[in-house]
Amino acid sequence: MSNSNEETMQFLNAGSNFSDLEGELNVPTQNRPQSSNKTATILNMGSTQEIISTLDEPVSVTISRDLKAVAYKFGHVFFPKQSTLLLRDWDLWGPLTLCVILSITLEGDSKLDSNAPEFASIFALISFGAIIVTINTKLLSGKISFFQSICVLGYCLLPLVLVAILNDLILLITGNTSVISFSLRFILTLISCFWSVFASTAFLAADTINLTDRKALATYPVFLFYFVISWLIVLDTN
Amino acid sequence: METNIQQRKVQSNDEQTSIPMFNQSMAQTVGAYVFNTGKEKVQKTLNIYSHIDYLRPYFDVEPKDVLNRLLYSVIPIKNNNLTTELYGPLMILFTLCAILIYQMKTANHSIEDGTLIGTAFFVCFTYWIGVSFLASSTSFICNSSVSLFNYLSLIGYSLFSYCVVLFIGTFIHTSFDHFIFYSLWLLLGGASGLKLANIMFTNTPHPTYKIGLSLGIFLIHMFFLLYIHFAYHELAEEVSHALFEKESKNDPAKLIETVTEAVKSLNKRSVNDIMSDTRALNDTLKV
Repeated sequence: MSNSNEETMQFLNAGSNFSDLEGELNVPTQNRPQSSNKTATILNMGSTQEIISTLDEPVSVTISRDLKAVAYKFGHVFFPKQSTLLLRDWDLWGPLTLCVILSITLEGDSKLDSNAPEFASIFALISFGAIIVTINTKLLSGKISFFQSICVLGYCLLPLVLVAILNDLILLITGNTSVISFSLRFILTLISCFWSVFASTAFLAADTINLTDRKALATYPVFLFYFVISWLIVLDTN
Repeated sequence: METNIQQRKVQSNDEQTSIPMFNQSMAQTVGAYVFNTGKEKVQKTLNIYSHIDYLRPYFDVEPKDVLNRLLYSVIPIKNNNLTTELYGPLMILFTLCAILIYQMKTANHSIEDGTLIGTAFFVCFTYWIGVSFLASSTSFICNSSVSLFNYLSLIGYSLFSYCVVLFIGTFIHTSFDHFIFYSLWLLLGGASGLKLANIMFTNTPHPTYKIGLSLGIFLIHMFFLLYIHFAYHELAEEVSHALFEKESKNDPAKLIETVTEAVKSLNKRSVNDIMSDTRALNDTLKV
């Protein structure tokens, strides 16, 4: 009897802290324990423990944990499978890094070639492109938050970034003029473009987004976005 | 007397504290002002984000419908229903921008104050929105039943023909007489222009305005396609021309032709001519 009373008290205490309950309601069902009474207690405990642990831990631990999370997401993009990882724990560190690396590799010397894209224009193209694709998905009544979509699109730039770096290496080794180097660069970029599109659609095709009939309509702007970036990579001859 | 002294003390105290007090109040007001403007701006952006819902009906479309509309945008006679859908036009515009960026890059087109990407977007979107506004306002004056969103959708889908023509015209760059481009311009561009003109014609009641409006929109459509092709194409043409000339000079087949011609003429001409011919031959061989 006393045991059950204690449990009720615990539940009431946990229930009084609504912010905790609200925060944890989004946890996917497979991780949620069966009993609601226990759930409330465990979640409340878990959240307090987590807060204490992040406050107490050294900075190096926090940074390494974040870096590990980013690296894990990169791995997910590299071997695309249908998962909600990027949608659940979105962050913008990965996209920012990739965007900056891509802008630096594609940036041309404006003195040699007045047509070469500038850092700012590539950065703006990538960020505005991602925003436009996101708004389009939202307009097609997809249930995805703004930053989730930006996160997915940004992380899926990884194959293109790798190819952009490879592209510079190939240009350095073989030179600009040879046909073999051009065809090699072209094929690599094409493969990476399709890889990016495939990876992003694998993430965006999750059931939660509710784009049952309109996947083709949501995929086309994604394809166009990656296609333009890969075009810039192929045309980059600096 | 004592009260006076007290008052003076209070006054002196006030003077001492007045500057920090003023600073504090100033900081408070400035802080409040900054906070309020920040709050208003955030609310405004949030409002814009919530306004997306108002646009949602214009994006309520199935893939099949988009494909049908793309196909019927180059068939002037069939399926002349008015729509207010904007998904297709926007995607066509972005594709057109991508093609224009490629075209500008290959044509070595350089812009002094601005970027290629910005120019491509500016050109496409200005044409789309500008012509739609122009057409809708003129048709409003002429009592036509076509609204602004109808025009945005219509003109957006008519840009599909631009995409196809420019894509083929940029990639298949065979000769200098632009035969492929002109034939595509007449066929596809003409067909989509006729579609626009047909819709204007059927939806305007007045007989004179009918002809004027449809002719106007047809001409604008055709000339803008010409402009967009040649404005960013000129340099590519020159470059390929120069390349072609260079190739023909170094081409062995052409050299053999000139040699055989020279040999044929040897039999007919005098010694002086022969000397000059050999000099010319030497020159060509050197080149």
